[in-house]
Amino acid sequence: MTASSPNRLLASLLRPHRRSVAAYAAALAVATALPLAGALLLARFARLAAEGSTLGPLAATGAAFALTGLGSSATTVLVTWRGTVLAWQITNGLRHDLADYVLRADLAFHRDRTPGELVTRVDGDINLMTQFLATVVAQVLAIAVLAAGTVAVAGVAEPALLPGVAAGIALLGTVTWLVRNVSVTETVIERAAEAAAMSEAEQYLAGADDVATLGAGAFGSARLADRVADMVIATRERTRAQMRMQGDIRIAVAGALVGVVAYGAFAFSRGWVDVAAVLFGFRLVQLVADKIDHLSWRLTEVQGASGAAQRVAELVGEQRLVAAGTGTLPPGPLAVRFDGVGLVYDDDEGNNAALHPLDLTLEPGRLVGVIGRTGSGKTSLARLLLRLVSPTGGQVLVGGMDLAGVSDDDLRRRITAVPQDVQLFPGTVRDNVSLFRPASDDELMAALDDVGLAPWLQGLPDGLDTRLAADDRDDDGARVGLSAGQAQLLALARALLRQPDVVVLDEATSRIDPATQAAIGAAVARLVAGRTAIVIAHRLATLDACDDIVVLANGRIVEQGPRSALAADPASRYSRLRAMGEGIADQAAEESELLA
Amino acid sequence: MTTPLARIFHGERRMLHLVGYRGRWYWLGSAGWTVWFVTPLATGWLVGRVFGRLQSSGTGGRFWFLLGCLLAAYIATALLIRIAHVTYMQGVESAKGLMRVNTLNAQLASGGAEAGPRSVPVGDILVRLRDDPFDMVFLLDNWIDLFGLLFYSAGTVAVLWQIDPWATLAGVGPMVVVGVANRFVGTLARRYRARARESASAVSDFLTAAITASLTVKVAGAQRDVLRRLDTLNDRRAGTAVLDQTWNEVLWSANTAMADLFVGLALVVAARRGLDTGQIALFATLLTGMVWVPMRISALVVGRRRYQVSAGRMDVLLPEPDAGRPDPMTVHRQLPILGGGPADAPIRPDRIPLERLELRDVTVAGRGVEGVELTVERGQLVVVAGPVGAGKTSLLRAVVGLLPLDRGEVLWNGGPIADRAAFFVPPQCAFVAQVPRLFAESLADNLRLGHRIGDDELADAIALAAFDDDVAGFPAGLGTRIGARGVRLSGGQAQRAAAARALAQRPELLVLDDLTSALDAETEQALWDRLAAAGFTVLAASNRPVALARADTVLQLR
Repeated sequence: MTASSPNRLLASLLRPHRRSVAAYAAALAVATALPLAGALLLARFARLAAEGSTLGPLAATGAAFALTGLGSSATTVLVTWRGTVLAWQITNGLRHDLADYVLRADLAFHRDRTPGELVTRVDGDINLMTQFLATVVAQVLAIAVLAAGTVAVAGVAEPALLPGVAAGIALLGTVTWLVRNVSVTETVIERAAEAAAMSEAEQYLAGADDVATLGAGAFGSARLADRVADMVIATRERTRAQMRMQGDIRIAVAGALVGVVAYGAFAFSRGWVDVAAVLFGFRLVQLVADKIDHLSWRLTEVQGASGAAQRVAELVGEQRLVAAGTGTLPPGPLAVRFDGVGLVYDDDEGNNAALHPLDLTLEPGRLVGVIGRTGSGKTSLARLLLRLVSPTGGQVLVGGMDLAGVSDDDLRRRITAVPQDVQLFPGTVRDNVSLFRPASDDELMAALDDVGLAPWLQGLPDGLDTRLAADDRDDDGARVGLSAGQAQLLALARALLRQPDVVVLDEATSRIDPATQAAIGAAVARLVAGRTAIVIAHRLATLDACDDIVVLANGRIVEQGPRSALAADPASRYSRLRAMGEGIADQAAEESELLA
Repeated sequence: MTTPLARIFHGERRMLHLVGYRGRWYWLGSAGWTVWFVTPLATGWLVGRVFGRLQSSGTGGRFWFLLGCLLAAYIATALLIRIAHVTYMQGVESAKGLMRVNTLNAQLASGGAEAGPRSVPVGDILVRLRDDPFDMVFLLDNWIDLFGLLFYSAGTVAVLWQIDPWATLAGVGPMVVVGVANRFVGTLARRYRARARESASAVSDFLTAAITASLTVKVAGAQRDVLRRLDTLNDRRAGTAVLDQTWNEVLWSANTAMADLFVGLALVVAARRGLDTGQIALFATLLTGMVWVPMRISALVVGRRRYQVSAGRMDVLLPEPDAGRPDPMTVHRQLPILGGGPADAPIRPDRIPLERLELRDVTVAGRGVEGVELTVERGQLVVVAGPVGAGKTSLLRAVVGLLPLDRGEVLWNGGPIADRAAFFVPPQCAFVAQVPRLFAESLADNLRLGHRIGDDELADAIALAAFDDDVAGFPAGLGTRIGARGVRLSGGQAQRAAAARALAQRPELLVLDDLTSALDAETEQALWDRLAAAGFTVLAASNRPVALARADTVLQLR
C-alpha cells in the first residue's frame, strides 16, 4: 500500500550511513538480548524456589535478574543516543537538499504554494521522518532481533516448548506485518489537513495588520476554524484506522499468549516439561508481545513518516526547475539580445501572451530604461533575462550565448536584480547585506556607504552585527530601524556587493522619496557603470541617466531608441510622456492614449 | 486563584476548562483509559490462577475454563481501548484546535500592537501553533495515566499483600522512594526541552524567511550561502534535540532498571517464604506492571515542566488576561468542530459619521513622528510627505492603532479615541498598508473578508479603485483564485485590489500608505479622481507629484 518511492527515499537516506547503522544495530542486539537472559533467570529462579533451594543460589539468581535489567537500561540509553544522532544527521541532510530544491524551483512552483505549506514540507514532514528513524526503526529492529533470540533461547533451554513458542511468535509477527499499513491513507489525509491548517494560519498571520484594520479578524479565525474542523475529523478517522490495526494486533497477542500456555499445559500433561518451563515460555512470548504493543502506538508514526516521505518525494518529483546548462559566460561587459522571444505563462487560463515575439538588443555597458503601464510586459522581460521563466519561443542571448545553456552559478554571479519587494532575513545587518556570503567589514561598509546608509549604520548599537527583525508584518516602522525605503537601499547595497555584469532594477526605487532618490543617484550610477543594465520604472525622472529607452505596451515594443534622440523628437512617445510627467497630472487622459 | 493550591495547579485548572469544550468525548475516553490501566490486574491475577492450577492439579479441574477466561479478558481489554482511544482523541484534537483558533483570533483581533504582543515572527508563531497545544493538553494525560496506574498499584498491593506482605513491601517500598527522587531530575529535562524548542524555532523561522524570499535568494545566487546558514542552525538543533531525547531516555531507563532491581529483591524474599510457581508468576507480572509508577510520576514532573514551557510560549501570543474576563487561551467559542455550526461572524460597530479628524501632538518615539498636529476635514485629501525614514508609515500606523503613541491623541469629531485599534475599523476607517496582503481565496472573498457587502456595492468599489477593467479581463471574474498572497495578480493589480477591499467598506476615513507606488501616473490620476468624486475623506502617505498636486493639505515630515 505504501508507494515505493518514499520507501526508496528512506532507503537511499540510510545507505550512506551503512556503517553507523550496523554499529547501531549491534548495540541494539545487546540491549535486546539482555531481557531474554532475564527471562531465563526467572525460569531458573522459579525452579530453584520450587525445589526449595537455599538462599545462596536464590539470591544470586535474583541479583543476576536485576543486573540484566540494569544492563539493558544502560545499553538502551546508548542506543537512543546513537540512534538520535544518526537520525538527525540523515534528516538534516535531507532538509538541506529539499531547501535547496525549493530555493531553485521556478516561479510557478512558488505561485502554487504558500510559504507556510513549503515550510511544513521542509520542516514538519522531515521532522516526522527524523522521529521515525530515531525511534521506530530502532524498535522494529529490536523486535526482529528479540523475536529471533526468543525462538533460539526457547530451542536451547526448553526444546519441548519450541513449537508453542515459535508458533506464538510467528502469529505475532505475521499479524503485525499484515496490518502495518492499515492507516497509511488516513495518516496522509491527517497530515495534509494539518499542513492546510498551518498554511491557513500563516497567511492570515502574515496579513495580520490588514485583517486587524479591516475588522476582519473573525474571517481569518473562521477560516482556520474550518481547517481545524477538518483536522479533528481527519484525526478521528486516522485514530479509528490505527485502533483497528492495534485491535488486530492485541487479539493476535491474546492468541499467542494463551496458545503458548495451552501448548505448555499439553506438554506438562505428557510429562515433557515442568510448570516453571511453561512460565518461561509464557514470559518469552510476553516479552515480544510487550514490545509489539509499544510499537503499535508508534506505527502511526511509521505511517506518518511514509506519508511525509511520499509528499517530499512528490514535491521533488515535480521537477519544477527552469532548464539550466553548464556553460560559462564570456568575461567582461555583456551584450543582451532578445531574439524573437515570446512568453506565455503556463498557468494563464486565457493563454494570453505576456510578451509577443520581440527582438531587442542591449549593447554591452548600456543603460536601458523600460517603460510601460502595469501589465505591459516589463516584468516578464526582466524575468526572462533573470531566467526565472523560460521563453515560450525564441532565445535570450547574453554575451552571444543562449541563456538556457549557462550554468546557474555563473548566471547568478553575472546577472543580478534589485527587486521591488525587499525581503529581510532573521539575522544581522551583515547577514542581510551579504546574504550570508563571507564578506569583509570594509566591503560591506563601502556598499552601505555607496547607497547612503552609512549614517543609519552609525546609529546602530552593534554596527554590522545589529540584529534586524525580519518579520514581514512590520512593513515599515516596526522593523529595527529600517523603513521600506531603507530596505530598498539595502537591496541596492546587496547588488553592489556582488559586482555583477548585468543588472536589472525592477521598480527598485518606487518607494524612495525624491530627496532620497537624488542622494542615491550616484550609487545607482556606480552600480550600473560599465555594466549592461535594465531599469524598469514608472517615474521617468529615474530614467534620465539611461542611454536607451524601450516603450512597451500590451507585450509589444512600441518604441525604442537612444534616449537623447527620443527626447529630442517632440513627436516621440517618450518625450510626450516626459513633458507630461514633469508638468503634472491633468494630461493623464493623453498619457492613457499613448500607452494603451 | 490566590490560594497556594490554585497557583500550583493553575495549569491543570486551565486545561480542565479547555477540555470541557468537548468534555463528553474527553472524559468518556479518559474513563476508558483509566479502566484500561487496571485491566492488567485482572489478567495478571488470572495468569497466577492458571499457573497455580496447572501446578496443583495439572490440566484437570477448571484449568481450561480459567485459560478461556484469560483469553476473554485479553480480548475485552483490546476492544475497550479501541473504543476509548477514538473517543478520547476527538476530545483532545478539539481542545487543541480551540487553542489554535483562540490564539490566531487574538493575533488578528483589532488590538494591534498594543493589545496583542506581536513581536514574534510568523514562522515562530506557526511552530508554536503546531507543537505547543499538544504539550499543554498532555498535562492532563499525565494525571489520567498516573491515576489509572495508582488504581492498578492499589489493587496490586492488595492482591500481593494477601500472598506475602514482606515480599510486597520489598518490591513496592523502594519504588516510592525512586518516584520521589525523580522530582529533582525534572529541572534538567525542562532546560533541555526549552533549548531544543528554541533551536527548532530558529530553524523554522529562518526557513520561513528564506522560502518567502526565494526569489531574492535565487536572483542573488545566494542559495549556497543561505543553505550554509541553514546547516549551521540545523546542526545546533540536532545537538539540542539529541540532548533532549537522550536525557529523556536516561530518565526512563534509570527507572526501569531500578524497578527491575526491586522486582528481583521481592522475588528473593518471596521465594524464601516458599511461594509456588503460580505465586511467583503473579509477583513477577504484577510488580513489573508497577514499574510504570515511578516512570509515570517522573513523566508527570516532566509533563508539568513542558506545560510551563509551552504555556509560556503560547501566552505571549495572547493579550494579558483581565481579572474579570475569561482566559483568552481556553475561552469556549462557536466552532464548526463536531457539530458546532459555523464560526462567529465579524462584528461591525455602528457608523459614526466623520466631521473632523484631528491629530494633537502625536508622537511615536524613535520613529521620526514628533509632535504632529494635523486636521482632516470631511471630504478632504490630506497627504503626508517626506523622505525615507521620516515616519510617514509610522504616523499612519499609529493613527489606526497599529503602533502605540508615546504622547498626544487622536480625536474623532473632537472626541479623543482611547482604544484606536478597536475604533479605527470599518465602517469608521479602512487602512491600506504599504505592502497590502491578499489571501489565497477567491477575489470576492478577498474583497469582502467576511463582511456583508452586496454585489453592487462590491462592483462600485472595484470601479472606484480603477480595478474594473482588470476584473473584467479575468476569465473567472470575481471567482478568480488569486493564489498564495495574491501572486497571480501583478503588483499594480494587487494594490488596486487592496484599495477596492478598503473602499468596499465605504469607510468614513480612508488611510492609504503609499498606495500608488506600483501604479503608473495615469492609473494613479484616475484613482484620485474617482475617490474625490465619490466624496471620500482620505489621509494618505505619498511623495508622488499627482497626489501632492491634488491634496487639500500636505504635511511635510522631516
